[in-house]
Amino acid sequence: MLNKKEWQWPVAFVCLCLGFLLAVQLRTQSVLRRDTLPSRRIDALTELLRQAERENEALSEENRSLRTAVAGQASSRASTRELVSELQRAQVLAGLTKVTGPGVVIILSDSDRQARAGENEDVYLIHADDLLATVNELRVAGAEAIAVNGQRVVASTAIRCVGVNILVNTARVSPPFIIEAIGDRDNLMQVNMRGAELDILRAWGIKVQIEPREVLTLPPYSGSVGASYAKPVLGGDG
Amino acid sequence: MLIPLVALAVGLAVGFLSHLSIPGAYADFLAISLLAALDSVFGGLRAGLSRTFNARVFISGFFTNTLLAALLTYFGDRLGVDFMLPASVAFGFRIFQNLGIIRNLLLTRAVKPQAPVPE
Repeated sequence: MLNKKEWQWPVAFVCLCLGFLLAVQLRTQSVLRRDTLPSRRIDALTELLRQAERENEALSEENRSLRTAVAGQASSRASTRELVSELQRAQVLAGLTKVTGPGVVIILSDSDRQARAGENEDVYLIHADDLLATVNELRVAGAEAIAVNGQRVVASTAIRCVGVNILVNTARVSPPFIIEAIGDRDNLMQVNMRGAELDILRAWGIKVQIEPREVLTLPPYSGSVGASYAKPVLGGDG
Repeated sequence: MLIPLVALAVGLAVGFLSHLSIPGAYADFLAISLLAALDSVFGGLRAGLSRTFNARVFISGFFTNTLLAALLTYFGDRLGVDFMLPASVAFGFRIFQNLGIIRNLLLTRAVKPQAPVPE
């Protein structure tokens, strides 16, 4: 029979190691938990996002009506007529007014192709990068006004990937993506050329439709504009 | 029973104070090692209580079990075989069995302090 103490010391030694391992693991797990969002929080955040989007929508509406009011005020005075035409020109360039003109419509839909085993199915979907590249090529082709799913693309527009959605300005857009561009139709149709973005997308089975239109009407940018930080430099044009 | 408990507390304190944490990718392997370590400790307690304790067997068992568990899980991960589940089941099963026997031994002792120990 063993003495009581004799078996307690080895167990104590092992318990020491065990305690150490346990503490390290607990710390590791708490770090992991902090870095990954629990699903409950995701739900709460989704609700917050929806709420923010609703508020955003309401404010855009207000913004639109205020702009109409300002335009009405300005055009009622003869002395401001010249300023108004200047303002209109600037607004067309900035994307703040509804514009109409000839152009092209591009419609992109996700591929029907099924990913084969071991293949990444992501390549058959349209990503924010693809939209961004298409918009970029339209600009190269001389587009004067562009809208993606009714969202006007302006100087401050970001097209980015947010989880499973694509965000254009602050609106979530989903396929089919309808990209409208106003400009010289023959030039704009050149985005369809061999080796261009649309051609690459077609290679992945993404459905691409492109057609010229006599008349396109693009909505104005509904978000707020204004430079709070960037100030013009006098005489800095050169 | 007091010395092992104190040692456990000291180990926990050292672990927490050392601010050591391993990368998330290896957390699973450490978890399985821990399970193996727990299994060894309960096995040791059981052996101690039933007077069949052998320090050499215990210490070597603890370290080889802990290391092998982590290694096997790691290789399983590399081979695409999930060793986490069988390891948790096997170790969990043994831990519960040992706990049952420990409880049994302690109870028998409490009821009849001088009784010869079973097993």
